[in-house]
Amino acid sequence: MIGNDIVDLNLAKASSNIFRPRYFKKILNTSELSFIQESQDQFLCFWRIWTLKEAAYKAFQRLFLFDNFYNPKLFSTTIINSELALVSYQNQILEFKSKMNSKYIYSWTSSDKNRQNIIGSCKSEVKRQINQSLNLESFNLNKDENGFPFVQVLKQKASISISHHGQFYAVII
Amino acid sequence: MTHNEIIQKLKSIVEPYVNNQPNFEQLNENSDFIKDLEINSANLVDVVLDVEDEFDIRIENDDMEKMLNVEATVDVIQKKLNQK
Repeated sequence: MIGNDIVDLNLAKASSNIFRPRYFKKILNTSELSFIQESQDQFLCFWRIWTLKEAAYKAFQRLFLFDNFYNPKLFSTTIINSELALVSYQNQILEFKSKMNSKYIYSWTSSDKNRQNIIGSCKSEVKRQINQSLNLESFNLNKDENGFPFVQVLKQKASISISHHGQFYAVII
Repeated sequence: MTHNEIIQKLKSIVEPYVNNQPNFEQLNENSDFIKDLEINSANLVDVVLDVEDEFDIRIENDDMEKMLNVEATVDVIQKKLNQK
């Protein structure tokens, strides 16, 4: 099971006014709302929770194969510390990790500890990094019949998760 | 309000959030907000809130859930307007 999501903080600041009336209430449940309101930095706290919900949507879609829908409130997040968080959906819970710096917030889950996260400024840079770290000469990024991305190397297929926002392109492989 | 009037209003609501201008110019009932118009998922909330303001309606999350394309969104708006 994998899922990831990245938010470019500059783009987030420029393109979303998360403090407009009713914005939080459409996305957050009451415990998430009070967690954000009590936090030091509501902007960063919101976007971390947002990446968790988006990454969870991708991971749970692989589990349940649900059709696309738009209701981030259904993915309930619990922040454990600055790195760890839990997200639950339909009585299932997954553990997520987050990584933050001044440019982006990135959250992901993976049932396989050997997977790597690769973050770059564009698809070709990430492909280059995959080439180097996995020693792959050539590979293709594809999508399967359910729309989930995978890489193919010769006859071998491996599922991956991709997220792209603004200046950042992230892959869990 | 007619179906077409709703689509026209919706078209001007989504415009600021669109990242695929050619697909926006061809906007029709089947246009998908994320796949075709490349609206960022965080901006879908803005679309929903702008729809609420423009049509003076309130949309619950059960309805918001379906609002991923023009057709489903027009249906939700029409339903809410009929309830007024």
